[in-house]
Amino acid sequence: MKSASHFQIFFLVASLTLLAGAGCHKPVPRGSLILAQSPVNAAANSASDVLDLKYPPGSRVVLMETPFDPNRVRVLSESLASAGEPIVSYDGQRIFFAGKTSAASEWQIYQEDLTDARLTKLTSVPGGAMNPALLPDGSLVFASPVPKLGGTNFNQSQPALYVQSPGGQPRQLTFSSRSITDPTMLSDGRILFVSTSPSNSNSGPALFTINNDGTEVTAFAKPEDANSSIQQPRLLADDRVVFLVSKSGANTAEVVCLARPFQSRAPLFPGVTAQIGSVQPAGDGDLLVCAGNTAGNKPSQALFRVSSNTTNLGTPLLVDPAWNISEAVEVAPHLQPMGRLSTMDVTKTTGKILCLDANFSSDRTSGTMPPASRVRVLVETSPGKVHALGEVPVQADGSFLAEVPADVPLGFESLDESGHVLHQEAPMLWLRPAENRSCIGCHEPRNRAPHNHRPLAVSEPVIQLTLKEAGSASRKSN
Amino acid sequence: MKKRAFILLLILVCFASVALWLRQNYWIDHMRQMSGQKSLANVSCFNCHLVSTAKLRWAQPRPHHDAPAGMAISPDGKKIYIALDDRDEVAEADTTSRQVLRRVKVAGRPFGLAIDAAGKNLFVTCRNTDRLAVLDTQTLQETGSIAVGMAPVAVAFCRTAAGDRLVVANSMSDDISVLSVSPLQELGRPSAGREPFAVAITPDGTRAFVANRMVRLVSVKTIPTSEVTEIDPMTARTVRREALESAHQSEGICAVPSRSWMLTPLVKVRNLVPITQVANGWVMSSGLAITDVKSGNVIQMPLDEANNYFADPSGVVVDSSGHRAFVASGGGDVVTVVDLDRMAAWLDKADPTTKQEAIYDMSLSPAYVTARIPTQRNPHQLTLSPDGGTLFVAERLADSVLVVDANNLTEKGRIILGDGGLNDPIRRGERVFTKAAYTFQHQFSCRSCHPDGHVDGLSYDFDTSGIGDNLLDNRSLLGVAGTEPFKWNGKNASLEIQCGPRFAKVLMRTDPIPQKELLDLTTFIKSQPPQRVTRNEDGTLTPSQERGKAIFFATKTKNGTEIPHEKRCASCHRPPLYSVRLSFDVGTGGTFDTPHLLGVANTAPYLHDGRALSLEEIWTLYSTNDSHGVTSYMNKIQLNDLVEFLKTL
Repeated sequence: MKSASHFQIFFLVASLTLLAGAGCHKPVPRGSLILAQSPVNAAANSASDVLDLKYPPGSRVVLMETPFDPNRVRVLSESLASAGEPIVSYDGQRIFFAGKTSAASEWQIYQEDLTDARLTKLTSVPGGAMNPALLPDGSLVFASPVPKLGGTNFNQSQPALYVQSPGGQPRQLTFSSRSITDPTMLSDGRILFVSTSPSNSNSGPALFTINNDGTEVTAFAKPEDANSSIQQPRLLADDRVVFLVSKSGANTAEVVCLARPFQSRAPLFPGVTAQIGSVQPAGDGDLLVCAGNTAGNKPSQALFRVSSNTTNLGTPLLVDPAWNISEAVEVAPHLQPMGRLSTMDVTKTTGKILCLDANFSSDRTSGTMPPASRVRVLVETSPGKVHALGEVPVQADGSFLAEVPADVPLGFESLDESGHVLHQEAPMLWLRPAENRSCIGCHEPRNRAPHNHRPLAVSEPVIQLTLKEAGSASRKSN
Repeated sequence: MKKRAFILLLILVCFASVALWLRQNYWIDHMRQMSGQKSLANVSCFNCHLVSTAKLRWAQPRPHHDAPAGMAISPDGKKIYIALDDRDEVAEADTTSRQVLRRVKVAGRPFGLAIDAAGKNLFVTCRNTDRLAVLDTQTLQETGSIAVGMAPVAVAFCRTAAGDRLVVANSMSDDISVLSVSPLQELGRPSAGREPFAVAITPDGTRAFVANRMVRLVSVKTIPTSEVTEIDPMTARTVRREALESAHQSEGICAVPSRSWMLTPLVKVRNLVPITQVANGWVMSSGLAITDVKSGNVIQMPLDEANNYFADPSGVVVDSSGHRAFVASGGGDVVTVVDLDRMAAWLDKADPTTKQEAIYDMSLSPAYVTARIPTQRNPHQLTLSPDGGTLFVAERLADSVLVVDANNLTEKGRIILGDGGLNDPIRRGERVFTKAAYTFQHQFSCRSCHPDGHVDGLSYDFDTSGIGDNLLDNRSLLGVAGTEPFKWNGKNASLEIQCGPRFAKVLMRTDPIPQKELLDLTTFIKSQPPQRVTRNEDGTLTPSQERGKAIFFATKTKNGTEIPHEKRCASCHRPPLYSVRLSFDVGTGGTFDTPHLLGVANTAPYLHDGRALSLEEIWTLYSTNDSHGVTSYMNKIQLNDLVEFLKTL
């Protein structure tokens, strides 16, 4: 009996030692923070891409437990040369962030499990990966490649969104010549992202959504400024979406309401002049705001915790003279978005698009244009190279139906009887394999439901347009 | 019991052996001949034999719950009366203490309530016994009763120059009973739309408006409309029948005192548009119809938001000043507060086209919706205290009435009627059935297309087989237990498959309903009996129905010609379910699952795409060359007899 007790004690001690050696940590207190920090004196001279600029060498991701003490942090990106863009899993147990192992290496997405402090490299994609987000099933969504500095143009590969299930390979979700970045989840299960036109385009950045399989790409909100950039959209607890706006050197935060995203754009902090670096939702409806702090000897980026209806940032929650705090997220379980069963069929190579009325448009003076007699479908085979895929007839009620190649950017031109272009939609839309997609019209008003009528096009043979025979069309029976 | 089973088994084995001995392929030939199927992959003995409705879930006893239906408040505001239709009771509660004071039995599923101006008489519609009962509010004893139309669900009291009147919505006979109170007698029964469900009286008592839940029967590709029926309660005559375009499921109606408005919550449906998506209200959305009482003009206003929906609008009530309307969202578990002044201001500025297009603008509602009051499960009927200070919300599947301070919209408490019934899988399943939170952006619930488990009378175009001509008639869920497979193509072997991943992918556009909730849901569906039909009380048939029965089971035509087995009604529609649960081609463009015929009288339209607007049309228009049974020998009277018999099933 006595020897058994000694054995039990020995076993216990040995187990504890092993667990400690394996890096097992005590549970992280609720309300602890994950911070992205950059050295105050860091130089970004050697920056070659946009993340280098934001997270210069030495940038790190740390865990700061409650009570907060800048001198008592656990570095989660210990083995990395730079790190940033942290997000927390829905169960509050894992941290995902972008990091790079050396100045010359590419940014990839890493995961650290808070319970065992194990760092895992999740992606190894050419050109690097950034902007991690999580689907409710645990799949990782990210943008790739990381844009190089020097401006975006048609000669450079634009970032797109990818999804990677645990242990799986990345699969492309978006198919556009525009830059697609900053994915984040809406509570209804859609992925919200920022789409930015190439620099030689006049259209400004906008927020779009897709489903978790890349289907149903839809405009969500469009800030009006063509010469601004928007980043880091995040859904807030009060059903608003906050995003950062950079314009003429000023960084501000703006919001739109989910209830009417196209008509509700407003500053988040109307009375604040500080440069806003990041806004993240926190518990109790609060916001974690990283903003320029002008107090003290040296201006730095500090962390504020404010209620969502505040007009003043107040006193910083955290200021570290040695570190700029560029982002902060709370370590806590949070609401998991809805999931969604995919309607895609990967064995197929086409999708179908049904337009209810090609003559319906929000930017058209009624009655001044002749009705469309056909629609030319455009395809962007490589950035900037757009050609006609074929034409489909428009029915008497304005409807048309076409089967088109999947996973390529598609545009549309409505034509009158003599072939004059009435309306243009630049290649922005794509269909996933076997996706059935509908629209109300050209440049249709946003957040609009269709009239209840039976489109004539659904009773006609579907027109099939193929990439191989670009410029030709064939009829196919339904 | 074991001995009997053994003997039965022995007899079966003997029969089988003898049959096999007589003819090697006897059983196969028999099954082929009787089922009419070339492939026997989906055929078993049980398609025809050993089928019993007695063992089905809907024929079994089930627990009853204290679900609040209609409510009425005494003129002094001190007492509230609550119909508990599932209990056959009416409850009386104190509005201040929120305590139930008395409960009294009222037979026949009491559903709708109204109280007279003096507060002396409580009028109760009894949905299952087709009558209106009068209760003395002092004693809560029944003092009178009168037969009305079939399945009365709502009643309103009004004073007219000719005396007090009651207007009753008869949901299954599609008409309106207009009664004088003293003496209690029916003055007239004008026709309504389809399934009249709510009644409201104009403040001056000169007009009654009735909201109808189902759309009128029209050709399947025609834009559907439901009806707001306007009658004169004094004369019991119809004044006007206003159409609500592409709108249905109206379960409430209310007059706005300070304006000449009548408000009707509705589901704005887009059933003719292929369901390629559900975002942006592509399938349906919630709205509020404003009927101008003077002109009859109707404008529909949205109640949802661009990225969040509040499904299944039902009860509506307006405060006495006419400034605010409250609309219950049965699927969204909220009461929406509408600022009618803001709505009027928006309407004043809008041009006629903008007004008509308002219902399609999913981002418009923040202009006049000022609050959403959270409730427990399935808020339905609403009522306000006479002073307008307190709102009462019947939380139907929580067995409670929420009491809200109507001024500051804060919760005062609840009148607790029961325990919510969460130990009952059928009740849990009904909560799943009515919950919109399972669908993308909470857009709709199962109930949105299957009110009370029944049908909405519409055909929808699902895009699973591609975009094209795929309109399919919505089928009733009443009495479906034991009628698997499901879906018109008969591909779903069970309700669990039908309502699980398939529903998630095609309609909900979310993850499937979790397994535990799915089992509750299917238990609820299986517990739903076929809809009540018109039949003699003693179960006997009228002479016409008897003749129709003989035709249904006939093996020979009138002149003695043998009807081929596969062309007899009862071969495919075999009792007791009146379906052998196999697919057949009846000349409508494909092979389709044979629907059961229990309660078929009330499931129009018919055939897979809803092309037949009545049972008669199945044969008079869509059975060429006797493709749907041999019926060409029948004359008009014989066909009428057959239809009369079908209506008794």
